Amino acid sequence: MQDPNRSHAARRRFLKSAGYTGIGLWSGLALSPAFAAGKDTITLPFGNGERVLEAFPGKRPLIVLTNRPPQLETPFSVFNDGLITPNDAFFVRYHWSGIPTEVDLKSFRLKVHGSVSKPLELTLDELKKLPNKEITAVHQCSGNSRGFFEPRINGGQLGHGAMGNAKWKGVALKDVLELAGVAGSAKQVAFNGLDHPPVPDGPDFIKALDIDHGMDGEVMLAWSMNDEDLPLLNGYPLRLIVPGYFGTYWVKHLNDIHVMDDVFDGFWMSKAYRIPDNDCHCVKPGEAPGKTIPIERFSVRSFITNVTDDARITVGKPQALRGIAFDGGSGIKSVQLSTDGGSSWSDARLGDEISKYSFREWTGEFTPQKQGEFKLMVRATNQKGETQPMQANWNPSGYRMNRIEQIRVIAA
Amino acid sequence: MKYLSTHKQMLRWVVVGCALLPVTAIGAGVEFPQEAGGYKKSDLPGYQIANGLCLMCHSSQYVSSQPPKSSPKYWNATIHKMKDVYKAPLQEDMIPAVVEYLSVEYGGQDRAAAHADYEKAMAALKSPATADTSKK
Repeated sequence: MQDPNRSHAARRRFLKSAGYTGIGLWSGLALSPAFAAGKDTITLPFGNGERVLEAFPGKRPLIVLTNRPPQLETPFSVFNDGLITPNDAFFVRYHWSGIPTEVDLKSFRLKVHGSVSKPLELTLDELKKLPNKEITAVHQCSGNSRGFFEPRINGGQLGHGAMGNAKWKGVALKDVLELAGVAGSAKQVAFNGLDHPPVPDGPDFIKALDIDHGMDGEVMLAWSMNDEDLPLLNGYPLRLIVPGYFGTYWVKHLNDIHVMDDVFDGFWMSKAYRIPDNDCHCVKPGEAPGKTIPIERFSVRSFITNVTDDARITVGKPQALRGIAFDGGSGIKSVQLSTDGGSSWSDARLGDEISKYSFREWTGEFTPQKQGEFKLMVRATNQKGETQPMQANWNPSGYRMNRIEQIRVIAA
Repeated sequence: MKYLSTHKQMLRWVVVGCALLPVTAIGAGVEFPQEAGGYKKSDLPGYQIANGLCLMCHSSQYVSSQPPKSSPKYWNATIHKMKDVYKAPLQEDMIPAVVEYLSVEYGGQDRAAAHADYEKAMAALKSPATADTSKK
């Protein structure tokens, strides 16, 4: 890991020399405006979609949304490599640039406090002695695919790469809370990690779940991802896993659990990550919602992964199609394909269900009978009967995108 | 525990001193890849503020990746959020210049219109009493 002391020292030296000088002095010091400067690049298919690919610690080259703090997207082709997203390809999203670059397990403690009979300070080893459990679950950013909303919505301009599927290993939050003895008066549990705002008094990234949710036995504290320690940028040494819920709740570098008698009203719950309180969680573009609620479970989604836009296929020859589907935990009931722009649909074959929270594979086939352009579409339905809309459910923050995706292929 | 970010103490120092860090100082000797470039160079005064204060906490891609033609209203609301909610060390009277810079260089707003908005916002800041009276 980097030596931040060195950079701090460098900064300190710099500041000393900079002193109280005014703004104008630094105008000549800006770097070259070329955003890519010889790096690999990719252009996401929306305005201002140019991105560089760079390798951060523990990661292969990923699509860089922002360097500081790191916000990295998984290149879409990775989702065709397998149902499990490799750790070094898994997306990264931080809110604040105050992120730990190294965590010493000798001093690391998970604190559990608040409305509990026995406050805890656990080392990672102590935590690992509780009954271990594993779950394969999709992790997805609330704003995944935001760049595809029309009209466009400001915020992190993500393609489809802020999602991934991993096997998480850890302990049930319930077991930890029971060890601490939750008071009957408890309403919520708030989670904080080692990352912090770079400025004094900025709202620390803290998220909360209702106590009943926290005690459901599914919410986990995980130290392992795909049988390895969590990568630093995915929350080493410990993160919250909230199966089926958007990534905003999956607090990284988790070191503080606060059991509260009230509803937590911090910025990241009461003001941010909220959606319109109606059935579609949507409004007419440009309109402000009336009442809002905290975002919760994933909407149902599906993707074709083995064919890309403008692919050439052969008339009369079967073209294998495959991809993934997932939802917020009810499980995938069916996946359908359309090869005529959505006029008719046929069932795809579903692969085994690894877990109801996992990516589920689907396969199908398409034999073009004539030359020309075809629009391939995929649509999943979950066990609750929820499916995907043709048009995205627009909302002011650009969350929960789950429109039916389409790929244009050319048969010749 | 070791951290990547600008040190809190350092930042207080900077806030007090109103000194500005160029991107080069932040990126020195760090294993995390740094962005190339930074804010678009401009003769507009807001460039100097963005290139200093905004860059202290986040890279410029937060701005450059926004949809083309993002509106002055968006930039204004966002910069106010940075100051009021995220506690960026911006002074109120710096904001109109930053809005002007971002609206022109990233939002594609007409320069004259952006400058008129700037003048209007600065005038409102200079005579808050008038603004208060008008409310009554």
